[in-house]
Formats: sequence, structure tokens, C-alpha cells
Amino acid sequence: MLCNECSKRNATLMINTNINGKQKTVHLCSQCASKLGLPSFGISDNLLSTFFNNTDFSQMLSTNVCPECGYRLEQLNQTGFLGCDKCYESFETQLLPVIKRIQGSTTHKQDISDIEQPNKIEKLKEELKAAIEIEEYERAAQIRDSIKALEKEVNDERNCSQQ
Amino acid sequence: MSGIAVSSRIRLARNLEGKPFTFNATPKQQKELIASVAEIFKAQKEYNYLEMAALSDVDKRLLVERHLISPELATSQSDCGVWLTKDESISIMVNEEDHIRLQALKSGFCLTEALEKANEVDKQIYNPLKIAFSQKLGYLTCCPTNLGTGMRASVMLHLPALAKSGRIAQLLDSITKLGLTVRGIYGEGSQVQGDMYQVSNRITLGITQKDIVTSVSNVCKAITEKEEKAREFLKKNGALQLEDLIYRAYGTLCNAKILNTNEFMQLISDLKMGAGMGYLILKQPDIIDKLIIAAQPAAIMKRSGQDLNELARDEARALIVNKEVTKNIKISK
Repeated sequence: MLCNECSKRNATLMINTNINGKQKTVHLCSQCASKLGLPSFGISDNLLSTFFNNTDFSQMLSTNVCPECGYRLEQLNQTGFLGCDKCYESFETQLLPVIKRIQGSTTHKQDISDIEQPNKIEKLKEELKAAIEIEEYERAAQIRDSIKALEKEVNDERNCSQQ
Repeated sequence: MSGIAVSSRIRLARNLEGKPFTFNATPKQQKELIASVAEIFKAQKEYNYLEMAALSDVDKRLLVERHLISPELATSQSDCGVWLTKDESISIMVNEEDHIRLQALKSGFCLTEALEKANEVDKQIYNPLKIAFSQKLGYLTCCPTNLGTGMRASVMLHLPALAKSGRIAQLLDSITKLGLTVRGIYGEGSQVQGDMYQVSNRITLGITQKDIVTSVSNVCKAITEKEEKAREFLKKNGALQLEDLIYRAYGTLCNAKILNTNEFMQLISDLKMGAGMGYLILKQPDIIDKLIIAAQPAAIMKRSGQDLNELARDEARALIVNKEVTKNIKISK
């Protein structure tokens, strides 16, 4: 595949971004990547650490930056930390196997202490209603998409836990 | 339980939605968090705030010795601090590894009560602060090892007889296989001193708070029973040696002129076992646990009001220990 930036050289890096649930993939060659200020790391880079095994390694070769806080996924490897709460969405694909290995599970079990916490879907439905009332249709459409995404997430989880 | 379970602790890790985690936050963002937390607790009379930057190294170390802050908070470069209740049963660390780490401490074996306390405080912060929570992963924490409940339930266990019988390594191994972790006296990365072991859950995601408390409690109960059996075994098979050990510890603690931390911790551990087994009479049941805290390095320096070198500190420790043990602990006839 050719680099999306220069359309001349072969792309060696894949960048996944997730902005408000919208997935976007960009392919870049190493020259364009370094021009854009992205690290181009090769096989020699010390990416293998306690957190990642070999299967994650190939995934790690794609450079990932959290759009919310600018944290790079490779930093998790050095620190063991994420940059902000949104990093969990930004790096979801890469993180889930890691979480599974650490925790033995990737699904939070609803707790009595969670019950009193506002249900996100209900909260969004209220926001949707309010947006329609004041005729902010563009925003309403965005909220509707978020609700759909959340409902799908919840259904997927249910299916997973039933299996 | 003869003082085998020394204390119980529940720790909850919480972060704000849409804000970089502490180490990734700007000084301004760290200050803003401190201000938002202050809004909740400043009006509550039982809470006091201690800003880390305003404390001396001895004062910070003192808080670690009393298990009120983590060793990490004491050495943190971030703008951080702790809200403490006057009875020291609740501590809310701000800008630790997570934005907020609240802990409820109880003496003895009472994880359930500690959990109730911690949840009360958790409810107070949830709405005003917009805590990061996802339906899928639960509470979102700086390190993925704390996801889900964000909870660590731990019990400090005093296990001298198991340590002496050489069965502790095998036991710790089986605890690890049950999905729990064993740590030293001041938590992660700390040494085991005075036969004190902190047993806590390793997994925080995919399990409810209640189930964590149940599993940690069950394992701690089983370990406590094993310790009791090991004590009975010692009494049955080496009563003279056991008595000798306990009374030697008593004699040294009453009369030694120099006591370093390690020696003190070992002797007080023997003494605590002796008290638990009825060889010694205590004026107050918690006198030994209090003495353990009062004889730690920072506590001694704070008491003397000056920076002491090691020898002077060991001398000061011996003086305090001589006095307290002679006054409050007697040999049972």
C-alpha cells in the first residue's frame, strides 16, 4: 500500500485513531511519519516488556496516539500507565488482550455500588430529547449514534456473558 | 482471633472524566483537581487537608508509617495531598497514581465495615466530580491493573508461628494461586517486617466489590486458622522453647539500650504472639500495635524533635520501648 501522505513510497506504518467513536486508519511511509512528528520504530526498539507478548508486538507496530490527551500507546510499555480515561477507547483494540491477560476478564461486573450511578444510555436519551426540543438536529443525530453504539456494546456483552 | 488480623483496609481508585491522569496532567490541572476535591471536604469538620509540599520529610514518612498515605505519595513530584479524618479511619489521597485514592482503615478483621465506609465517601465524590466510569470496563484507572471496581481489599496479618515453622513460603505460594497477592508491611514493593503480611486481591475487573471482600476474607480466615494451629503445635511440641522465646523478647524489650528497627520488629512480633497466646497480660489490647507505630524511625524523630543519626535513633527507640513495655505489659503468672 502506498503512503497516504506522499502517495509515492510504500507505507510502513498504520495509524489508528478513534475520535468520538469514529475509527480512522492512515497508512504512512517512515519519512512522512517522521515529518509529521510521529516516531518510526523498527524491530530493534525495545517494545517487549511485561505488558506485551509477541502477539501484541505486531499490533504495537502501528503508531497510536490518543486524540484526547496525546498519549502514545508505546508509553504504556514504559510506564505501565494510560494517559487519560479516554485512552481506553482510543487504544481499545490493543488494550483488550492486555487487560484480559492482567485481569482474566474484560467486562466489568455490575455492582450494588454502581446501581446508584447514572446509566449512561438513559442520560444520553434525555440529552437527545432536549436536543430535539431545541431543534439542534445535528447534535441530536450525534447523540442518537452514541446511544446506538452503547446499546450495541451492552448487547455484545450480554451475548458474551451468556456464551 | 488473638490479634492475628491486625487491620483491614479498602482502597478505591477513582479518576475524573476527560482529564489526563496525574502523571500526565499539567501543574494547573493538578491544582484544579485539588480545588475540586477541597470543595467537597472543606466544609466537613472531621476532615483535615495536608498538602505534601508543605510537609517535612519526617512528617511525610510518619504518615506512611501510620498507613495513612502510600510511600508513592510521600515521594511524588506532583502537586498532591491527603484529606484525613480526625480518627484517621478515612484517608483521601489526591493526585496519587490515580486522581483520587480513598481508603477506609479499620483495626482488626472487618473488611465489610471498611467497605461500607469507603462506599459512603465514594458516593460523596461521584456526582460533583464526574468520575470516569464505563459500562464495559467499570472505573477507568491510570493502570489497567485497577480497572473495574478500582478496589483493593487488604488485611494485615501477623503470622509469626507460620513463619517460624517454615511453612510460610508454601502458604504464600498457594495464596497467589488463589488470585490474591501478599505484600509487605507498607504495601506494594515493601519488605516483610515483624512477620506482618498484607493479603489483598489481585484482580479488580469482572468481579463485584462484595465478591472481592468475600474471597479476601475467606482466605484470611483460613490463614488465621492455620496460624492458630501452628501456635498450638509450638505450644504442644516445644512449650519450654516457646516460653523462652517470648520471655527473652520481653526481657530485651524492657532492658535493651539500643534497638534497631529490624531487631525491634522481630522481638515485638514474638511479644505479640506471646500476648495472643496468653503468656503476657496487656493493659490495653491495642498497646502492642500502637507501640509498633510509635517505634518506627519517623515517629521517633518526630518525638525527639530533631534529626537523629542511626545510633541516636536506636537509643531513643530503646528508651521508648523500655518504658512502654515495662508499664503496660506484664508476665502472666
